[in-house]
This record gives sequence, C-alpha cells and structure tokens, in this order.
Amino acid sequence: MNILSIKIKDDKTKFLPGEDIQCEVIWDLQKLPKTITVNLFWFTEGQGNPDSEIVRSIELDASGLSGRQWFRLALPVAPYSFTGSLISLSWAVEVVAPPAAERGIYKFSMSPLDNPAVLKAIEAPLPGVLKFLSRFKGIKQMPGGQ
Amino acid sequence: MSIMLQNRNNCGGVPNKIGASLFLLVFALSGMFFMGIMAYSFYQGAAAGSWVETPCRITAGEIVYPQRSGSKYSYKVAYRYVYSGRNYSATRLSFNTQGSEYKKVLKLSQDYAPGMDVKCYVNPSNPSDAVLVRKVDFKLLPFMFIPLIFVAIGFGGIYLTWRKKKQAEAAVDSAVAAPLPPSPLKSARAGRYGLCVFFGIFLLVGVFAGYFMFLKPVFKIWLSSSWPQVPCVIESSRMTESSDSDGTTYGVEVIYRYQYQGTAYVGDKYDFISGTSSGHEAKARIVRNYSPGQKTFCYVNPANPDDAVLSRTFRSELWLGLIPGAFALVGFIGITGALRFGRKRKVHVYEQPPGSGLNYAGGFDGIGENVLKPVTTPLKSLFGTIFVAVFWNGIVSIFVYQDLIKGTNSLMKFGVSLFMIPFILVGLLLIGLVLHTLLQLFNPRPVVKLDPVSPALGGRVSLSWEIPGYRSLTRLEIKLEGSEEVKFKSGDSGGTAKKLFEQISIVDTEDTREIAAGNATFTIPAESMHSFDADSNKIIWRLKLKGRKKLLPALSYEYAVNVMPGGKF
Repeated sequence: MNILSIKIKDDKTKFLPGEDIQCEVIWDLQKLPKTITVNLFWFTEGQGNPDSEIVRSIELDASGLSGRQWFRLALPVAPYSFTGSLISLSWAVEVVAPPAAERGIYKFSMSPLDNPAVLKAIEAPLPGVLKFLSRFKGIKQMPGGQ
Repeated sequence: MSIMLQNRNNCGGVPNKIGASLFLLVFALSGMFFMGIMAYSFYQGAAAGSWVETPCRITAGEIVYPQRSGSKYSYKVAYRYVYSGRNYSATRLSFNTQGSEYKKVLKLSQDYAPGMDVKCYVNPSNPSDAVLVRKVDFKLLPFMFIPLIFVAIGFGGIYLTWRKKKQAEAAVDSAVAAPLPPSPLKSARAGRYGLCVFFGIFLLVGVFAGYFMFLKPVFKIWLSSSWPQVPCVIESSRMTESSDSDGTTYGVEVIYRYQYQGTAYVGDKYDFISGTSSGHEAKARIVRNYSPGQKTFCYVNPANPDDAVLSRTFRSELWLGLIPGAFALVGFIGITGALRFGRKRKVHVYEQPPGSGLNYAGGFDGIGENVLKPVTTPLKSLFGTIFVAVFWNGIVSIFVYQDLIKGTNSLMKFGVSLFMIPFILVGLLLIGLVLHTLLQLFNPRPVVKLDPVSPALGGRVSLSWEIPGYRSLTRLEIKLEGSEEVKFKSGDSGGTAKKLFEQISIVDTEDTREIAAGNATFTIPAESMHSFDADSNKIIWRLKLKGRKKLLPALSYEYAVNVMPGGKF
C-alpha cells in the first residue's frame, strides 16, 4: 500500500497572507514515482460550482521509493480565506506522486485576521414592484438575496 | 491536520444516469436510423456504378402530372433489353424515384422517348434489375453528417455521463478523495470554443438561409433588369402546396413555352423566389393571371436562354428573407462576445511583487484614474433592449402573421391565439422596456470619483460626486454593497444566487445643494472580504447611485469597485 502524506510544521492551520509555511512530505510507494509534486492552491466550497486554482507548484527530489523532505513555501497575499452564506474559501497544500493514485492534502486558512472573515447575509431591499406589493400581501424583506 | 476533502464531482444518482442514458440512446438511435437510410440510398446509387452497360429500347414513356397541389411531376417509363441471351423488361428510371420539377421531367421524356435506343445498366447478379440513370447523388453526402451529430451527442453524452461516475468512484476509493484543482485556462478555452460553436451554428444558418431567401433573389432581380423580353405562351399554371406541423405554405408554378434566337424553350419559373411560403391569396391571384394558352412576355437570360422568368419584380414576401439576418447577427455578436470574453478573462496570479507587501497584482484592473465608470450606460442598455425586443417581436410576429392574420382555420386560430398571448405580452413588455430605457437617455449623467479608486479592506475612502442637471432630482442615495454571487449546477439545470453581506450607506439626502455635488468619507470594514473573481464564485463590490425624480424613470447607476486585500499583516 502506498503512503503519501503532507503536514505543516506544528500542525499550524492559520496563516497570514505572504507568510512562509514549512511543510514535510512523507512517501513510501510501491512503484518509483515519476515526480513528487507539491501544489499550493485555494479552493471554494458552498452553493456554487467549485473553483480552485494552483498558485504555486514545486517538484521534490524523488530518488527513492520512500523518503521524507522538508521544504518552504511562501504564501501569496490573496485571496483571503472566508466563510460566507454561499461561498467558503480555503487554502491547501497537496502532494501527488504519479503513477500512485493517492495524494496527501493539508488544509488551512489564510487571513490577516485572527480567524477568517465570516460574511453574514443581510437584509436586501425589495425590488420596487415587490415593495409595492408587500403593502398588500405582507411580503417581508428578502434575506440577503435579490 | 491531514484532511479528506469532499469529492466535488457530484454526478447525481444511478437512476438519473440511467434516465439520461436512455434519453441519449434514443437520440443516438434516431440519428443512426436516418443515417442508415441515407447511407443505403447512397450505396444503391454507388453500387449501380458496377452494373453492366447494356443496349435497351424504350417501349413506353409518359409524363405523370401532379394529381394534388402538393405533389410533383414524374416520368413513367418502360424499356426492354437483352442480357446473356435472355430478354428482360424493366420500368425503373433511377434509384431516386421521387418527383421533380417539370423542366427536369420534360428533359427526361425527351432523352428517353418511346422508340429510342439508349443505354441501360443491368445488375449482373439479378439481370431483371436495371436502371436507365445511374447517377450517384453526391449531394446527399453532406446531409449524412446531420444525423451523425445526433449520434455523436447521444453516444458522447452516455460516455460522459458514465465516465464521470467512474472518476467519482475512483476518488472515493482512494485514501484521500481530494479534488484536483481544475485548470482554469483550459476550461475557459473550452467554454469559449463551445460558445463559438453554438453561435457559429446561428451564424451559418443565418448566412445560408439569408443568402437563399434574400440575397440571391435580390441579386438575380438586379441582374435580370437587362434580360430581353420575349413573347411566351402559358402551358399551365397551378399553386403548389407544402404541409407540415406548422401549417400549409404555398408556391406558384407556371409552365410556359418561348423561343429565343430560333430555339424553343420551356420555362417553369414565375420569378426568382423559390420554395413555398404563407399567403394563399397572393399566389392564387398570380395563378389566375396566367391561364393556359394565354400569350404574355417572359424575360430570358441571354447567357443561358434556358433560364427565364415571367416576373422580375420585388415581391413583398422577400422581406421575410431578412429574418435569417437576425440569426446571423446573433451568431456574429455571440462569437465576437465569446472571443472578447476569452481575451479579457483575468488569470488570478495572487503574487506579491518584490519590495511590496500590499500590492495586489494581476487580479484587478489598472489603478490611477479615479473617476468611476458605470457598469452599463443608458445608451448601451438601449441598444441591448432594442436588440432583444426586435429579435423577440420579429419571431413572434411571424407566427402572428402566419397563423392569426393569414390562417384560414378558425379553430386553429383560436388555439394559436391562446398559445401566443404570453409571447405577445412579453413582446409588449419589451417594447415598454425600450421606451423606459430611451427616457433614461435624458437623465443627468453623474460623475463619481473614489479616492483611492481601489480601496483596501479597513481603508478610509473619499467619495465625491457631481450631477449636472440635478434639478429634476428630489433625493440622492449612494451606497456601497458587497455581495457573494455564485453560479451553480443542480442536476441538469443551473442557476445563479446572490447574497448581500455588506451595505454601507454613504449618502442619503434631499438637500438640492448636496444632490448637485458633494463629498463624503467612509471606511471599508477590515473584517470583510476583498473583491474576488473566479469562474463560478465571486465577491463583488458595487457603488450604487440612485436619484429619485418627480417623473419616472429614476436615475440609477452602478459602479464596480475593486476592493483590495487589507494591509494589516
């Protein structure tokens, strides 16, 4: 069985924009990997179709079937992690070692605040026609949406 | 913290997939069926190429005149031949047994007249099977690709439906089922090409139909203005019909004889409009004007005297030929838009330029000019609404004209009227929208400045405005709003959703001096989120300016504001 994992020093899960992260990759594979690649990426979760983007990739020196390696990655300045009513954005580093199907992933947040911003839905004003109708039908404010 | 990310390739359940597969299978099978028929027809013609050429004599031949207004002319023929010492007789003219126009059938009757010795082609494996004409119909070949599209969509769709499932299962099986981040550049390119293909079909159909329905006849009318006028005798005149689920359309067929430079010719074209269209009465009038034996004049093409028409005037129904132009325009605008969208699309490289901890490169447009540009202008909105209104009402008016005004069946008229009501109402609403947008052209144009033009989270912002012609305004409101906006797919359908998370009221005044011009400062909360623009998920900040007027419509402008990441780190 293949073992492929990635972890961050001190199991830290919160980072500031632009901060360096120190990661360790551990692998023990049955077949010699073509490459061992670490990707730093952000991704979205929530109601929308998922978006994601790799912002940095590095290739490790994979000379054996097993090994471990420490390395540093500099985080970019944005996008920040946040949690909204529709979207949540997080960051992660992953390690892949084809042809092995497994991959190791470590998720974290990146924000200048102590915790990622929480965007709460606020009352949105009703469009003109609905505002007029609300006088008769008791239509209430739309929660956040329009 | 090693985590397992949720698999995001949610492809729906197996029953959904089976349902989708069955639907797609019907698609593919129908395509295969029609392609099979066409291929067999083509194969028959091609196979006759190896049949043995044999002398034969025509024993009988007559032109079969159409029994109904919807049918065509055909040539009924019989012939005898000797093959391997045995006598045979046959009646097949060619593999294409469908009827044709009078002139073509007349030519066949001259080429294969009774008593003539001609060549026929005998099937060596079945000598009783023969044809007189063994022309391979290559015109059929391009049309074989049409059902092929159905086959490709059907089987391609089934493959994609089940392939996704396989990927999802593989992901679940793996120890860490994390999604591979998609390649945004690749997906953008694919989406752009997909849009180009979609709108390309509109463009092709529009150009193709527009050429045959409008450009070609108009060009020939113009060319024929120099054709000589010669006497001709009407042999027959009739209305042709073509019926389908959309109703019946009519055409005019007049057959006449004329002489040009000592040679006799037969003509069957009334004018340069081919095919059939609605309008029974107009065609009936033409047919009544040309009775058999009547002497009149026709116009002969001096370069090809076989080409002649009775009328070279511009018929009003030619204007209908401009409708495909709308399709071509939609296609052209769509392709241009798709290509422009692709070029403008930003790649989000959130890199930190050296020596700067705060700059936000790549994701946003240039900084410097602090006069905000509105997301849309009244003129752009006017063009947009006019285009949509013309397109919608153009199509609706065809049905109204054809089925309600020209239609003869009162029951059908009633049914169509009921069906058309919502479409007509939408058309009227669009016309109202055009008028509303037109009036907005006369509204004052505010000038709004933001300093800095791309403020950062937690930053202080200075806003100034000036509204020339403000006197008609009774109240002015300016707000900054932040919203989450997503595109989502659910099953076979999709949609968009939007939630406001921030609303900062900057100005709300009824003071005419403040309405005319002013400035204000405000702070963007540091605990909020900066602008973010991915394919399906966006954080959008907008400055909204609304001016209430005594007379409608109100002044309403929106400006996109790029809120930058904050600098407190």
